[in-house]
Amino acid sequence: MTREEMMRRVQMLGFVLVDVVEYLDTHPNCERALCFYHKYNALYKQAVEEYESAFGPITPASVRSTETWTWIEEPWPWEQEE
Amino acid sequence: MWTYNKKLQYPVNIKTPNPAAAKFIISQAGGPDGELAASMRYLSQRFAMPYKEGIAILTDIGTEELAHLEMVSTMLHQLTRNMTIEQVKEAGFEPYFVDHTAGVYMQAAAGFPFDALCFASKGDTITDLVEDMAAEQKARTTYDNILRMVDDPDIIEPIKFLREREIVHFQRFGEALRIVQDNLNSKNFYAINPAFDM
Repeated sequence: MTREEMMRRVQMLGFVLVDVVEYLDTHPNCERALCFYHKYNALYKQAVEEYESAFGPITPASVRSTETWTWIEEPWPWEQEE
Repeated sequence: MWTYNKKLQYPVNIKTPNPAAAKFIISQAGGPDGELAASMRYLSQRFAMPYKEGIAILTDIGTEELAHLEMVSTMLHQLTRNMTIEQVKEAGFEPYFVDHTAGVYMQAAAGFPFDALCFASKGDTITDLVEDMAAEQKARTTYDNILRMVDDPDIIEPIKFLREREIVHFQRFGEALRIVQDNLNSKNFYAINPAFDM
């Protein structure tokens, strides 16, 4: 997968979580939604892990390099790649 | 994008309500040199910042300022918790109370509502960073002025922490300005605006 494709996957799964989190806030005892949340949270974590090992950190907490501070590396989200 | 952490950056635990202090501490939430203005200023300026070190520092300080806004808002909440109407009147808190009860609303100490004029996003790299250094000093002065007027250690401790962060951020923006200037013509930093001309 290209960087764009992997990022798209992180964005899709991330949005699924945002939406179900908001639903669960007002339906905290809905077992189906909770089960859905756990399923997609695992998929999201895996997608983030795959993206970060190939293209670098999405958050400063996931910087892996012990050589240099890779958090600042481009592209930032609003920068279009040439 | 952002995610929320269910924690304050530094503990706030004010045991004695004090609406009189809330009247001026509120400026560090919604005033021109307050934390909301700081956060929005830096997060807005990022888009015109051509250097990655600058983008990172604007992003990370802009994010930290949101945590500071939460601390100041927590202080406002605790300072106005369980007030009696007598305490509201005694503190001269009626003008705020009548519009917002004990809710947290973004305004300056003088009562004017939060204003995006204070974002000061000029689209010029040197201008913006010099603005940011001044902004950190203005916020530091405000915290110093607040410290002159309070004697409750529960208020003083978090205010001292926030004041210290202004000094650290002033340092970081100064370093960012140095990095920007290292990329420019040393004979004339102002020959071009790197946010527009490059």
